[in-house]
Amino acid sequence: MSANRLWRLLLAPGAVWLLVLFVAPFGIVVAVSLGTQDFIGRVHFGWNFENYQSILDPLYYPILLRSAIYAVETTGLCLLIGYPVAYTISRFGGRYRNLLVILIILPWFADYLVRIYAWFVILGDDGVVNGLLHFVGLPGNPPVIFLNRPFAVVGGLVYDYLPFMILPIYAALDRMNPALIEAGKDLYGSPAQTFLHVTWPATIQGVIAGAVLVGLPSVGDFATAQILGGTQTFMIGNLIQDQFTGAGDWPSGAVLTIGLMALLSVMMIFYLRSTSRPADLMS
Amino acid sequence: MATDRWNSEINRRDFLRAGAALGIGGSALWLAAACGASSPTPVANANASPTPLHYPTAKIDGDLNLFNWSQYMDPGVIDRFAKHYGIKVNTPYFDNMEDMLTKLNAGVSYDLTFPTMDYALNLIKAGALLPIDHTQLANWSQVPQYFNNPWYDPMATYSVPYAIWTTGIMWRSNQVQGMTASWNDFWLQAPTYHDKMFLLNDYQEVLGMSLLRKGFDINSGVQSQLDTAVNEVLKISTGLRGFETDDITNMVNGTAWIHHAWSGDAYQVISQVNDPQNIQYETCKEGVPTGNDTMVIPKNAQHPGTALKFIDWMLDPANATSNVAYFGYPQVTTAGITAYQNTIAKQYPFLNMTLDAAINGLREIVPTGDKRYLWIQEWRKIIYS
Repeated sequence: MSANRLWRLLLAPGAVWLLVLFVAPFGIVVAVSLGTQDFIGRVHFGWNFENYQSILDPLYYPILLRSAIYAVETTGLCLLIGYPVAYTISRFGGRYRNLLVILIILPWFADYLVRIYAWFVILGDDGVVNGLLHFVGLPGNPPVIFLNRPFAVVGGLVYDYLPFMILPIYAALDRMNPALIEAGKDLYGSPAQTFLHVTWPATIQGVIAGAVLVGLPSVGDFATAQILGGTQTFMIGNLIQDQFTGAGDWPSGAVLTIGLMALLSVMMIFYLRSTSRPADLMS
Repeated sequence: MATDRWNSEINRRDFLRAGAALGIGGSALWLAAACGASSPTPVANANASPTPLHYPTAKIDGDLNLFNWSQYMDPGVIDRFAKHYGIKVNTPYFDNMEDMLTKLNAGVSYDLTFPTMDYALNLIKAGALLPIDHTQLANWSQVPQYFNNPWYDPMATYSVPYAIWTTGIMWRSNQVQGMTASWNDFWLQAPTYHDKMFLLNDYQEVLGMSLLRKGFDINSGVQSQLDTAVNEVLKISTGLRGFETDDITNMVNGTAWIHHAWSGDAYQVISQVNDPQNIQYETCKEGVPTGNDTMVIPKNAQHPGTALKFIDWMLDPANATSNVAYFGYPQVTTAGITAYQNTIAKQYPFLNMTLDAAINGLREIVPTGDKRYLWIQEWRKIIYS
């Protein structure tokens, strides 16, 4: 029994961190969502449940839809790019596997905003890519406008969250018994069939984990859209941020925050339930 | 197996227990926050003058937290202050007035901040500022006569003026032709140059400009007029490159060719580009938003004495002159205005402005109450489209 107590004690720092930095601020957000503002915008707490009616404002729906679409596009692109990378590293990496994994994580040594601003330099009107296009003779000044378009926002999100897709898939591939693939070949399966019927189902846990780790933050992201986006790329994260900084109101922002959390929690619960049972079957 | 034991130990009963504990703890915290904060300091009656609080004395009482727009004060002047008094100056930034107000309302402690005159008026009404004793400022005589009793701050109890500005349009004359000194220029140039055009991310400026173009009052609270103004902006806003209060960076790096801009920022662009002769700025015939902003000490400043010393430092003629050369606005002191007239206004006549025009010109007044709610709803129609 003493080993069990030790485990519980080791959970304590994490629980305290969660309590102080998540549960308590969340409680304050709930309190603000039920409050009102005075003439210069200071929040006075109360029990104004009618604030929650603002969540039904049809003005929000196109923005929520856009955020969902960007998140799905980001997840899809991350999967398309990330799976082959993870597969190559785990199957053909050999001695250099760890080095390659480190190279993938390396950009995260730089600050989040620095990584977004790097795209300014690359995709700007006078940036690297446009300079190259101009050099090969493409007309236009600039040849292509990348920034302040949906392309730049989704691209920025993909770039930022790609490691979150590669690493879980890599871990899943690593855990898979390579003999399974040989068995597939022995049973006269073509490479495509082997992949579809053996490799893919064996790594589905990693794919789902990656999809959740990429999809959920992408929905709520605001910094990428704010810096790389334009007037047509307003996401739900920018909406909530606007309520707290631009000409907005705090109770509305708090209501939207709770609404978004409720929506994402539903998806999280789905993820948790879908992973709990297959884990028993796969080990 | 060890894994079985691990799995079975953190079982459903324990999880529910932990969850309940977290839930009760969280609710307790929430109630504490709600009850504890539901009795704020009473908001001063808008009609009565607020009872002045303790006047801070001008002495160094710690490092300075200077809360300002970015690129709105000469870093050299700040560094010299820090060295002279042997302290550190922290410079957090805000993007616009609403951003500043949000952080102040959240209770973040700043020693000195820079609201525009209409925001200063509201902060004074709300009792959110410390009073300023002019006898503590050695350079107070530098402040022009009018500002001893400005319209927004009777007897200048809470504020010291900082700079005057105009709002207009900045553009690159080597790329864009046919500007007509009118707010309509945005609509005129939009079909060709919408990809290189920015408006200010400021609801007062954008809605105000559109109202002026239609001949309405810049601070109109009439819903039909605001609807018209919003619909006009929507005609061009979907194709715009963006809404941005940083009107310097995009003009300098070539992303913007036309920018809704403040006068001093035009000067900063001129000083940073390789081809200053191509940067032009115009004020518009339908109306020129103008005015001054102020330096104030928020009520929860931790080092108000240092803040007062810094205000005095900025009023010093040599520092004001140096500051004007950096940020391109006439700082509202005798020396600052003279410096501006002799240097920037002479070299760039389109940047000329007088103190009289700023005092008596078109004022943007930030809406409060129901009008504020209306303006916010209208602004959202533009940016949420």
